[in-house]
Amino acid sequence: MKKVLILTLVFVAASGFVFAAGGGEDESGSVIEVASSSTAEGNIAVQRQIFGQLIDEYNAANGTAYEVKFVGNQGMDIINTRMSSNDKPDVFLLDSPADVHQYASDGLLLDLSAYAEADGWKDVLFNWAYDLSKSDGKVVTLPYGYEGMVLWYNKNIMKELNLVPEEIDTLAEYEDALRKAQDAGYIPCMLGSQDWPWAQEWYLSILYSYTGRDLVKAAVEGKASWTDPAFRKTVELYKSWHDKGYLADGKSYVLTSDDAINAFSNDKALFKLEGTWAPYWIVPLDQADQDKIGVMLHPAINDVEKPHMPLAVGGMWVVSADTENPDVSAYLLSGLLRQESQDDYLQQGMDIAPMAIEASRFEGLAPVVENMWSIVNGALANGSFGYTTWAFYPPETRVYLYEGIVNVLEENISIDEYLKEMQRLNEKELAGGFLPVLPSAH
Amino acid sequence: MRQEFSERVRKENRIAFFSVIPVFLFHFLIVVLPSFNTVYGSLTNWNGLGTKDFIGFGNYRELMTDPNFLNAIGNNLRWMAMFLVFPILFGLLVGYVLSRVEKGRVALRAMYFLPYVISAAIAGKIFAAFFNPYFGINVAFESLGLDFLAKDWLAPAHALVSVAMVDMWHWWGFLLVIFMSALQQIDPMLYESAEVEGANDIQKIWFITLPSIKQTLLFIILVTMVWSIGTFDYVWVMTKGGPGSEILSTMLYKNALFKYRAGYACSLSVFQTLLAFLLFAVFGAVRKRMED
Repeated sequence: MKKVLILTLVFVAASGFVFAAGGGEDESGSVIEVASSSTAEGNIAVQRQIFGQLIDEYNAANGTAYEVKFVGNQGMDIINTRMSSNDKPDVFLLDSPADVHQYASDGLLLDLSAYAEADGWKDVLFNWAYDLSKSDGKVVTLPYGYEGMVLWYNKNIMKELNLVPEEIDTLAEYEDALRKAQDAGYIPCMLGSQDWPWAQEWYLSILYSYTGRDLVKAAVEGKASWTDPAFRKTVELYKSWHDKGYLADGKSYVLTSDDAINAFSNDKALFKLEGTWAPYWIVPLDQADQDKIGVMLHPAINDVEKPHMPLAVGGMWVVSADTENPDVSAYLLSGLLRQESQDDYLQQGMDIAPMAIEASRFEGLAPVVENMWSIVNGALANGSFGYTTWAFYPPETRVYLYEGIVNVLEENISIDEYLKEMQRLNEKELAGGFLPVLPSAH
Repeated sequence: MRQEFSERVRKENRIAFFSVIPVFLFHFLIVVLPSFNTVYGSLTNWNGLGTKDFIGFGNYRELMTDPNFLNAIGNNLRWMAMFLVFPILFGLLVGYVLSRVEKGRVALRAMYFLPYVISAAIAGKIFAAFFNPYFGINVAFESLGLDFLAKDWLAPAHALVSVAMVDMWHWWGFLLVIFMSALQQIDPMLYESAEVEGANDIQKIWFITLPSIKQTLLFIILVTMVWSIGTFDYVWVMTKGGPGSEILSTMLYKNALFKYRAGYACSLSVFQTLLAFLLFAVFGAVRKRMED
């Protein structure tokens, strides 16, 4: 009896161990999993609502009973892991065109060409966005949520220092503003990368793009070198701002992203560098706090480029090649291109689809957000965009770009060593099969 | 009688065998099998998604010349050195004192143990706030006139030590509990005899306490060394393994999941495992020699 009892217990324990991970409900077929990298609760709620509406429409029109399971917090580290396993979501978000190319070349993405043609993506999307949707001639992604780097400023401090944002266009004018802010006891420009190392590349995206868009494109494509004197001069400029305390009192890599937001929204900093996603923390502020924030393009740093907006797509929606439901998955993506879907995104302060949005959609937004979109759309209409690092650079080069710069600022390595290593990594990645996908900026 | 005894031994062996089987199966499926895959992956240029093309020892050759790798090993060894000294010493000393306390021992032990149950994600974020140059501990140092201690604690020059301090704060309470359990096993008669012989506290610790808890101490030292090779959580939460605090595990994570270099990450993983085995073997040999 005792023996039977022990064996039974052993069997139960073994079953528990072996099958613990396999006890989930059967979700095959009727459930479409949509995975997004969004982390903010409000952003997740908006996306969940939009996908929910789309699936309801699809069910009503086709007599089906699909459900959407929307999952947030699925960053690239998680998606990469899931896609190398058998736990693949149906629809998911990748970070950049470089990621899309990597996935497409490994055959992990559904060919959306037929759906894109049927739903007229080419006519709806901006040309550059439609170009980014293709890999090896096939449409494999819906570039979504275009974003760019802009400069936010505090109107009250501007006024106090007798500065006029519209008159800060050149390097000399910008440095003059930074100096005045510092002399008055303010942090000239706020940036925090301690918990978000990627924040360093926000600024470098602007500076490299301003060094010369053609030069950046050529360097990424291997036709020019990162050791070019123009890049050297740009890194020298960045380091000089760090050394003078213009960038977060010289503590940009010691402060967190929240520190940067808090200091800026509490009138301690003149400028804050952040992309067009910043409304996610601006919109929830009190009206008075929102009203004191202004937005502008970063001033030029040389005579080569006028102020422009380094551009990225906030994400690339794709469908897994293994999905059992390609039609409904593609339907969900096409649904994101509707004008009315943009309202929810705009109200939440999220990025919108890379297509011409009706002007009326921007009415009624927080004035600073409306102004931001006016600047962004103006830059796009003029073809005045550059290249963000996270959207277009080879992955290993990109990681080194924002980690290595801290060593430059700390004087652990020289600027020449930094750029030489970037060049080495870029060359290595090109030799290893990385295919640059940079739209022409002209 | 003898037959009955051997029958009983056989029966106990059977029970032991069946008891171990589930755990063994679990370990084999979850740890051993994927390990073989990792070893194979380390010999390929796998990007983490697609096919694995065999490239021989290319990843290992690259490791040997990668300055990041050498830097990461150096940081892991610095980490290990700190953990072999401070938490063990602190846990041992406080454990020794606490074991002599009559009242409130349990409460004190629970209090010291508390940090161990707080997750790395939460503790890391809280301490990152403490290290903030504008409102963290620097403000306290400055108000106490200790300006020389007001540093950028998470800047590359201090990041590794700062993060290690937080992890040691979390870890030492666990060691304290282990050491107290061992200390309570020591026969009080030994201390009484030593007192009669006129031994002072240091002599009692050296000649009675340490030899009596030698096995526990050796186990802790071994565990500390092996875990120092694989540590990850606090470093990732607090600095993402940025300049100054890159360690083998953060380097592995970035290569596998951000740089599309899973094959290279596999070779790092294999290296970590071999290093842990090597430490285990060397430590075992030293221990055997000590015991002999």
